[in-house]
Amino acid sequence: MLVAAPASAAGDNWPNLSPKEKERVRRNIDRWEKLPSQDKERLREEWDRWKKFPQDRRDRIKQRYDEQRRDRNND
Amino acid sequence: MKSVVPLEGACKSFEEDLVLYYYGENGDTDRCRVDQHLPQCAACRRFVDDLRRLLPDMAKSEALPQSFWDAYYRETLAKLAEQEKRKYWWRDLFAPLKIWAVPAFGTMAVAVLAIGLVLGRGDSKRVTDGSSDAIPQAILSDANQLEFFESMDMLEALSKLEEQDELKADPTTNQSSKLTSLAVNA
Repeated sequence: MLVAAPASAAGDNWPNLSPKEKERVRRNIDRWEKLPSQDKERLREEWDRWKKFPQDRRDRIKQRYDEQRRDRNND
Repeated sequence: MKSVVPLEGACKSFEEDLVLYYYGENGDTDRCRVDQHLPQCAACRRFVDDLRRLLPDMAKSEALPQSFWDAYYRETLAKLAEQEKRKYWWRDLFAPLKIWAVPAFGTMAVAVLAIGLVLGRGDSKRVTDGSSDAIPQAILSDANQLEFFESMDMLEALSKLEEQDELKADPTTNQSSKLTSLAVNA
């Protein structure tokens, strides 16, 4: 569907997600199905880039994104 | 011709004593008084005679025919049945059910209840935990894809977030580049 990724025993991950995270995954899967192929391609590239970031940078960016999202929700 | 009504016309002051006299239940004084009065009063004698004549007949019970008792019995049963019916009216609701249908109906009700409970519990679990029904198995079984869809919103804003991160990580570089750009513009 997305990219060929090594299958893992990650089925275990789903139960560990919070209800909000599960809802987000569901919503994004729906959005993905409707996205034009060029947007899908761009997101794939961003994903590959993201995976190559060092862990500390990923943490910082993730933290910033969470803060901004929280601020948006509070507005 | 004047008809004489039974048990009437006795002296009012003796009437009660005359009845007791008939039954032999008054005391000695009253009995002597009545004994002395009766020879002198025809009305009171007639009253006592009436008592002797009528009371034994009144006390007699009439022997009723068997047909009366049969009818009485049937009528009593009918009244009891009607009373029972009024008291337990709700039983009529189940009247169409055959005897065998009652346990069958009960079993069915228990089965429906059990299924409802199981499904209901499943639903509540689905609501609280979030069902994975709508998620393709390929995604559920792949942590990479699961993480991708979880991070998709962030990936869409990744470029901006990177810029912000770079600005924050190295503000001097950013300021100098800004100054450079200002100088270039000037």
